[in-house]
Amino acid sequence: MNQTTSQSELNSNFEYDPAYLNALKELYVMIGIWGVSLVWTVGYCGLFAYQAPGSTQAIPVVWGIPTWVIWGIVLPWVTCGLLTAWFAMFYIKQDDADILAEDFSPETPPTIKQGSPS
Amino acid sequence: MTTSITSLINPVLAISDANAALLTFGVYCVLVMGLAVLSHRLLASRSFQAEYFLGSRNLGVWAFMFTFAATSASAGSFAGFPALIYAHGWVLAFWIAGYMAVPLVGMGLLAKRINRMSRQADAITLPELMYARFGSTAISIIATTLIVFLLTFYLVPQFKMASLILQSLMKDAPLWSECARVLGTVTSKIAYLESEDPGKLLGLLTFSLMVIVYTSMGGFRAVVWTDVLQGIVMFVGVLVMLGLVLYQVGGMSRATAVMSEMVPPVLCEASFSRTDQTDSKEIQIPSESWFEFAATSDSPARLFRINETAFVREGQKQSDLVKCVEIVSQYERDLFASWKAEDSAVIIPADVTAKVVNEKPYAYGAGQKGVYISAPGPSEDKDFGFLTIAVAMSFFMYWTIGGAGQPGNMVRLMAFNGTRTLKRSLALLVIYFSVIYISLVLIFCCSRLLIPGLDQTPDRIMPLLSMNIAASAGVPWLAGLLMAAPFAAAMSTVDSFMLMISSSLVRDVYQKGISPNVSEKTMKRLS
Repeated sequence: MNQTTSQSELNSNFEYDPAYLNALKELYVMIGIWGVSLVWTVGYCGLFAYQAPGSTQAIPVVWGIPTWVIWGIVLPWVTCGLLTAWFAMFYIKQDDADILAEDFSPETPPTIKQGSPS
Repeated sequence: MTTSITSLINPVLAISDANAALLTFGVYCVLVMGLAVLSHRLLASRSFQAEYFLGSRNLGVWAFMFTFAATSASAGSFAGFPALIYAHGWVLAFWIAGYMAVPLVGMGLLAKRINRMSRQADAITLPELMYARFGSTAISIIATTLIVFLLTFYLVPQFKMASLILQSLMKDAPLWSECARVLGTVTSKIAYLESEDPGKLLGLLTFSLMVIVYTSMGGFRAVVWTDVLQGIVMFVGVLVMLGLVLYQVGGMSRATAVMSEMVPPVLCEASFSRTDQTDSKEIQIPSESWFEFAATSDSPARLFRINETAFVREGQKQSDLVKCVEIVSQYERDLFASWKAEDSAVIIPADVTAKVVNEKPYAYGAGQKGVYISAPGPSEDKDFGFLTIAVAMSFFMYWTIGGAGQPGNMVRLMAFNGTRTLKRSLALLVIYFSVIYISLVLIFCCSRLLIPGLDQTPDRIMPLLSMNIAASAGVPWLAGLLMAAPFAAAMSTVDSFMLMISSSLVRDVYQKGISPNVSEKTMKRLS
């Protein structure tokens, strides 16, 4: 019983590191963008890029680029790029202030330790 | 089939002023070495290991973006990838499509975590980071072993590409020829090297010396600074190349229209024999030379291009077999006819006959128009074509998820100076990769129109195209800049990997396993 209580207390007092929670949220968004890009590209090109052996049907071209490249590669590439830029500039959390504050460059002496009992 | 050669045209390599290209390339090399000297001075004023192996962990936005991009781009990006585009056409856009998500996954997936952990654990190398994360010496040893073993293999094509570029640029320079000749007299006495081209060996030697000197002088900082320079050179080089190529082929619309009519050549081998058996002097037939078989009553005229230099050696009657392609597309035949009509450097050795053997049509795409602008793309040996949907999907995952674990990139994730830098670098990297890879697809789709019949040795298309378009544009010095781009790609990969191998051996094996109290002076020497 005591053991159950202390486990319960432990769970209620337990807090995830915000850096971990942010990383998890970022991971979900990243997988979403990656997955949409994969399905769009492979799906579209799989349907429209392949020419049957011996086919004499002309491949449609716009501005010198086959249309399957425009709709199946260029457009998802641009979309993925824009979403990545949004993800980078507005979604990724700057949660490393703690570690950067602790860190010090090698040429700078660790002032926090100066004067402390050794 | 044996018949007389009716014409033999010099390859595309002719450059009006090779010295101008050499000068540009030389300026680039001097800049690289200058950066190494500067970083060496900086190294002297900082903690050796943190600075030498990780640049004191303070890379800013541009340095982080360029070093990540330049390390990702290798000889594969500027030799292998162009060769594949040349050989298989537009389908390579599908093959490389995963790069749209490489910045997102390559940086987004692990960057913050790796950076944080390496700071917390004060880890300088990847094996150290692995140990800090998993607390297992075995994992650390496995990481060290894999890095040293696998990266060594990965370096081989980088050296090959760099050697090819140096040879293409310098082979007409008197000093280079003399050095190659002297080296040849030495290597001809070594059993293992006697059959190797001295020019190629000289290229390997020069490239190795250059990279070893600047990497060992300046360490990570030198590698990052040169990566920035190399990243800029690659970016500018590719854009200039794109402009010139599009101009010279008459625009993308024309290029794709011509490609849609092209069919794959027939692969074959050719040998050359003297007609005058009493003559014994050496005959050299340069790579990229053309020859024709005249039409007969039961066969139309046939056109061939060799992809290797053929020699009928002194005292011998016949050359060895060399790689060759039979040109079957009308556009390429017309192009040859126009070059022949211009009478530009035509050589007709009347005393030579050609024999073509081992003719092999493409397994997929032979005689099929439109194969260069659609999937799966022509294939020499696979009857289902070059790129199936399953393989394309695998490559999408490989570029993104596999690339995220590339050791050279992971080390860079340990070295940026905070999330603020990461955010901006990630956004910039999207632009960088998009421009580079989409441009490469456009450039090398067009390259079939400018340099036909290179299908047996397409990995030479990058240096050949660079020299060809610069010469055609009347700015031969530009060839030096264009050739510096793939050279920079090979160099930036080699320097990063050499440093990783060095850090793994010195820090993780020697310092951790053999001599924990090793002095900084000894570490410097070993590194």
